[in-house]
Amino acid sequence: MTTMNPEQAYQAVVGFLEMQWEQRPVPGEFGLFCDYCTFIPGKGTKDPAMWTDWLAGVQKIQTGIPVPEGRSWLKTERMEPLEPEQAYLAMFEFIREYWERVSRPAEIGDLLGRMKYTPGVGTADPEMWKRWLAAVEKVQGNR
Amino acid sequence: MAACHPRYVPLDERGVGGSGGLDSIRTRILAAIVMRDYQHARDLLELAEGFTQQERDRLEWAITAAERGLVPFLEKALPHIFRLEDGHFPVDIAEARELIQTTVTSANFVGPSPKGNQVYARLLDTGAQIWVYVWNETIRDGGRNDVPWSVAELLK
Repeated sequence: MTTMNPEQAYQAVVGFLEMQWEQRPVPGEFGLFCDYCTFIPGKGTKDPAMWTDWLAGVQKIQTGIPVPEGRSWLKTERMEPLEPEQAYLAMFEFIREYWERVSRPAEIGDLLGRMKYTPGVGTADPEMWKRWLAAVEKVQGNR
Repeated sequence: MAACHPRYVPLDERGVGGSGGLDSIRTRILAAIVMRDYQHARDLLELAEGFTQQERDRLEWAITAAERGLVPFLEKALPHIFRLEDGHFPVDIAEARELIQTTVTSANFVGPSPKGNQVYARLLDTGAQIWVYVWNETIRDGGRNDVPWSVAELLK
C-alpha cells in the first residue's frame, strides 16, 4: 500500500466509519458523529469543524504537537503524505478528541477500545484493522 | 490507553464551591426551568451575585427559550457546538443560542439525515445559513455557514 494525502486518508476514515455504521445502523452518538464527518468533495465536512479537527489529528501524529482550537489555518498542502498505519493513528486521535469533547459517550468509547492499536501487535479487535485496510484499499483503488 | 487521557469534567460535574456557589445557583436555576417554574428561575437569577453579564444573559435566554417551548441544547454537546472553528459560533452567548434554538421549527425542517438525525437550517438576512442537528429531542450540533449548503448537501 502506498501513502495517502490527508484528503485521501480522510476518505478512508469516512469509509471505515461507514463500515462501522453498517454493522449497527442505529441512530445515536455514533450516528451523529458519522453525520458530522460526512465529506462532500469541494465543500468539506457537514460539520465544517470536523475537517480541521481531522487535520489537527494528522498534524499531531506527524509532529507530536497538539493543535489548539482555532485550526482554520491548517492546510493539507503543508502536510506530509500518510502511511496507512500513520493515518489509522490520526483517525484514532481524531475520534478520541471528539469523544473527550462531548463527555465520553459510551458508544464511541467502546469503539475506541476496540480500535486501540499497538505497533507490531495490531488492533485490540483484529476486525478493526481489517476494516481499515479495506477502507484504504477502496480509496487507493479509486485513484 | 484510557488511563492516559486527561479527565474531561462535564459541565454538571464541575466544582460547585459550596452550597451558595455559582454552579449551585446555576443548577437551581436550571432545575427551576425543568420544573417549569420560570418565575422562581428568574427570581434566583435576579438574586444571584457574581455571574458575568454574559452568563446572566445566557441563563435569562434559557428561561425564555424554555417558556417558548424551544428545543433545548444537550449540555454535554455545548463544548462541541460553541468553538473557535469554521462553521461554529466561537462563544456560547445568548445571541448565538437564540439563533440556533429558533431555527428548530417545523418551517425550517430540512429532513432526516441518513443516520437518523433531524436537520434544520435557515438563511439569515446576511446570507449566512444557520444549521442545526437534533437527536433525541435535544440540540446536538449547530452553527453558521457563511456560504449556505443546499438541501441535498445537508441531507447527504
